[in-house]
Amino acid sequence: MEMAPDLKKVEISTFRLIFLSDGLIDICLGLFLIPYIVWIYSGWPGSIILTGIIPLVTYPTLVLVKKKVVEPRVGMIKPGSRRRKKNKLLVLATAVTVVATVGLVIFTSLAARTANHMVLGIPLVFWLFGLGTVLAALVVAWLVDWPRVIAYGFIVAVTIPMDAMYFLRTGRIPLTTIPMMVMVGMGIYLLIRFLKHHPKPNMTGLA
Amino acid sequence: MSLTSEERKTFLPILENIDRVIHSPARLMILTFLYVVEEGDMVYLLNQTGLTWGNLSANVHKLKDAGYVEVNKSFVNERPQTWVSMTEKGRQAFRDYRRKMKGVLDELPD
Repeated sequence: MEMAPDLKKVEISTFRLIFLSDGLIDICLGLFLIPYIVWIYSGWPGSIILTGIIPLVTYPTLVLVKKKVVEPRVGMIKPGSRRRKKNKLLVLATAVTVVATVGLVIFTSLAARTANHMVLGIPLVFWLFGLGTVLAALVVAWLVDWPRVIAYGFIVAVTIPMDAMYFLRTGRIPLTTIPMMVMVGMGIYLLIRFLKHHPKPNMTGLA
Repeated sequence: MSLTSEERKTFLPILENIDRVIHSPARLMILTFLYVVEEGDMVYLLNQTGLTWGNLSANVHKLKDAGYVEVNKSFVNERPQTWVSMTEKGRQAFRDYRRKMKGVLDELPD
């Protein structure tokens, strides 16, 4: 260990170890895409209900697994001042993202009524959605120190316009499940790796 | 390479004043991992430092005796839980230690 450790690096690695290394957030993020997939494939307007139901199921499960599986292995922390500031900014960024999404939905309904809303054969709204996803991913990656989310953002940003193009040409939607499968797959891989690398500590000799 | 008499005059007083409670690899690791959080439990420190329970516990007690950390024990679901946090005195001592060591290491001749 260096005599003068880089405390910022130590804080980031600590945060990643405790909150991100187990892959549970990746799995949850992937599962949050289920309502969108159901809506794309079935067109069922009620799929919006799933947007509320899935967090209601995944959040308590996440908390339980963290408590029973993750905490006994890597312990618990209360974040320091740097992380608390970043968390506040994350709340603000989330609020901006929600407002932007609502704006995008309004734009979609307006753009669909105009004749000239296609760019390279793909509706403009899908390009904007892709761009918005990448920007949101970059902001989240910076705020949460989670570079993996940039890759997820790019996958979502690429598959949605590609799907739209396929749909307009062939009537098929072949790529919609890819982002979910990548996130859940990565999460499961990370969880297995986490369990392998972090066995429960031997508590013998605890004073 | 030995130090010149001028260099000795510069470095030796600083080294003599280095905080010996912090200047131990185990305690320096404990304080480093506590400095970046508000508080952490013993499993967190055990996992991050790689020390044994006995060694970790002994060093935490030394830091507690020096007034650098606070230890809070509680029971959650009938299981003991020990939280450790740095006191303001500990944070200040850690900052001073870093500053002194950085100064000494940066100024050492090649």
